Amino acid sequence: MIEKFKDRIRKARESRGFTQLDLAQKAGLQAAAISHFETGQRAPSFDNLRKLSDALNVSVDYLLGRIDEEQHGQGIGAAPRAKQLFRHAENLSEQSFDILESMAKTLWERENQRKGGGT
Amino acid sequence: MIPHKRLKAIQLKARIVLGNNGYLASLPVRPKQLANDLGIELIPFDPPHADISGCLMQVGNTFGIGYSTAIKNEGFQNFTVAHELGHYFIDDHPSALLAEGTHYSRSGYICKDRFEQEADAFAAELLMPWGLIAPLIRKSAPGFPAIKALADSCESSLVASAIRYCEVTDECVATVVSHAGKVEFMTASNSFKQIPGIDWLRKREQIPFEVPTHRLSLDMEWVERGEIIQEGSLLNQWFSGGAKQDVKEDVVGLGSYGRTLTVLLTDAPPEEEDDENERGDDYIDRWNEGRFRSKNQ
Repeated sequence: MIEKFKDRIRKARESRGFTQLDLAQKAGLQAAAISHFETGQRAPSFDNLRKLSDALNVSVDYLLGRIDEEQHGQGIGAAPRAKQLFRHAENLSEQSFDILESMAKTLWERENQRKGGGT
Repeated sequence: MIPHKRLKAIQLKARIVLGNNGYLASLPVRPKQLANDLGIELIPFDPPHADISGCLMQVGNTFGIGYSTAIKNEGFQNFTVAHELGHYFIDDHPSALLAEGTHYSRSGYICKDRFEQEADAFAAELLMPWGLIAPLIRKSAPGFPAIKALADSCESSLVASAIRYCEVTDECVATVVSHAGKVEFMTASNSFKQIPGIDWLRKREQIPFEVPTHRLSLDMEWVERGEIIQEGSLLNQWFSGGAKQDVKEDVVGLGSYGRTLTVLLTDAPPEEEDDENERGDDYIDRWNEGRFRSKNQ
């Protein structure tokens, strides 16, 4: 994941003509952090990922290397395949699965609202 | 055990988050409010089984924290949310935890992997930042009163407050969480760890029959009522290798959590009984790393 992340962040930054300092300022991070991310010296937090993806207008999943397009297409999300997404899911009861699936659907609706799209 | 440098970095991260969001001036820190301020969706749930206490979920660029309301304790829920915020803020957790989309956590303090321990350390510093709790501890009586003061002021659970208290106090104190007469886990201050002849109480070990905690932890109605009893015992009743030394034993029923919290407070060992193989930093390191000898050795 980190290998893909460092390549993706550099590619997205350069394609927008941003310097590392530009991206750092847009994301509210230190310039050294961008350099460390791009060289693989530092692994990001989710907070870092969210700030970077907002600054670059790409999906967190793109930066993580989980999708190849910069943005999710409409209708592609976690909710329909929630069962496959949970770590150690085999240890969960069916009822807890249902709770997590419901939560994933709620977040997917929020994500679509955030992007101004439909479901 | 979290390496010292990594632990310091995690605690610093928690303080930076507090400072950046205007939470360093006073207690309590409200993690649910903090999550809201950060645009993280909060989703309470009530699972029929105790197999999940909280989770961090990412869907696109939207993040959510789910937390169980099965245990009717605001402090427990606050710690759960703070723990999930730890997964959100700590470097390196995405690649390890959320590669598949979701991370969920179970309640309790036992058998946690590195990432769970790191999230706990973040949560403890976030809810009970050292700079704000130090004056509180200084003005409280040692032992359970200080733990209660922490829990009340920080709106954290008694268990989380007890763990945090043991981390920071100079008093000679240990805390034991037990269920139905058996140990779930034990924490101790550095001073307590230096008492000669003390062995770690291990998970599922029987609480000694002669101490008040044994009787009380078997009385589930008493535990449910959430009562507090102040009694006394002897160090060698708890730890066979310990001295015949008075111990103040405060026992608390933890209500719907079904556990008992015991706070043991005693006098620090005299310094002249130093044995370079069994005391000092090496001795404490062995505790911290779980390398202590078992009782039957």
